[in-house]
Amino acid sequence: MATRVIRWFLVLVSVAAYQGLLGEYLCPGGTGLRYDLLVIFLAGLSGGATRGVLAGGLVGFITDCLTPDFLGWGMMVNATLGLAAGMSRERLFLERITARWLVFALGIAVHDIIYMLPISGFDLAVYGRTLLVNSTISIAVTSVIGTMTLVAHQSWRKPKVPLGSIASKIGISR
Amino acid sequence: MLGLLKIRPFAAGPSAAYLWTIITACVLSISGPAIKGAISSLIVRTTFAPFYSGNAAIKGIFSVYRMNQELLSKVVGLTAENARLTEAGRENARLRGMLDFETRSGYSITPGEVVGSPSAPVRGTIWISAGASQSLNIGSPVITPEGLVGHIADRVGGLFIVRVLWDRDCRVAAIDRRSRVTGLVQWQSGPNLSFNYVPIDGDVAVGDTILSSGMGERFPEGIPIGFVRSVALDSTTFFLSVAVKPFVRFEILEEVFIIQYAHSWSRPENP
Repeated sequence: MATRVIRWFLVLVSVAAYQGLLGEYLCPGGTGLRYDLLVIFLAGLSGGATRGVLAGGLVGFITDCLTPDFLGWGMMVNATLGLAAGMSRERLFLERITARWLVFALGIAVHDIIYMLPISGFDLAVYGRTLLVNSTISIAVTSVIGTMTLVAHQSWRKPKVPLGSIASKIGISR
Repeated sequence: MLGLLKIRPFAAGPSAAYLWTIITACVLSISGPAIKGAISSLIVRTTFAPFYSGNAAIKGIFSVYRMNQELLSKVVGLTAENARLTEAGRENARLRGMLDFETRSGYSITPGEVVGSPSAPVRGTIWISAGASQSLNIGSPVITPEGLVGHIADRVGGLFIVRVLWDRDCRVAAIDRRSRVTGLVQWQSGPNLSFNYVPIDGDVAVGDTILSSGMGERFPEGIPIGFVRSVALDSTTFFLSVAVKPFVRFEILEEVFIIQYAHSWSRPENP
């Protein structure tokens, strides 16, 4: 239990460290590597829905603290994202790299579509510009890095059970 | 909904965990600005603030480094500019002195710029440029505010060759300002001049100022030449051996004045 708490604490510290130290350079103006979303996706895709929800809730909570007016909103959206990532791990066949990348890209896109609406003050011009410019670049960068990280992580640590219930059911081995 | 009643909601599976998270998020969303501000402030101060401070410190270091580089380049530029301005100031002071001298001297004089000077410790000529002046003749005396330099020996194109007092053939009829003893100033060796043909009983003392006497008609009367550095008795001749240190330092000359040559000099009236 203590190990888990420490692990989650380190994950949150890493998110805070990224925001505080590197976010200005790697994600200026919210355009670039979205480390918080990356963490949520990786937790969901590698650990399942529960971990995804937990990661989404915690990461969403601490990042919401930077914009207190929207405290709780990011937590809600990110938890949903983590749940979706975890469920996609369990219900989709994600052995192919392109499939993982697609899940990453679609997830970030849906996240931004939902999350940015109140953040932009329901100004459709700002909302559209944010999605077209900022989100597009962020999706490209984050999904590629996330996919590569996931592949590297799984090649480093072989899963005890094959990914995806469909794969295990039809007996496809890697 | 049973998951809500469990103490460990995340152990009940993703649905319960999600439900708890959404409820927490909703509670936070509908809470008042004061509560939101307090929670956010607490989290930001404990979680983000150290990293933002570190980022600011790192940026400060780079900023100081960049500023240091900029200041260094500025220092180099300003040092060069300072040297240029200092030199310009010296030149200005020199030219002002010369302008004042031109007024005081009463002679009709033309300024000239030294374009070539003796490279060896003792060498008898310098090259000067006096612009487009056509009124300068061979033999015109060349002076500075400090004293006599020599006379124009030749003209080559737009330049004048000046034979300075360090040349053996440049002789000046001279007089001791204090005792009025006359003689002939001539270079013999070394950096000093020799005040020749002073009788053994001539009243010449160390420190006396030697001027041109005007008797040779090449140089006008009263131009300072130098001061007596040593006086010795030469047992082989009937004259004193007087060494004169010239007032003008020929090796560092930059600007000179050429006096319009006249066959018979008359002492000008000072204004």
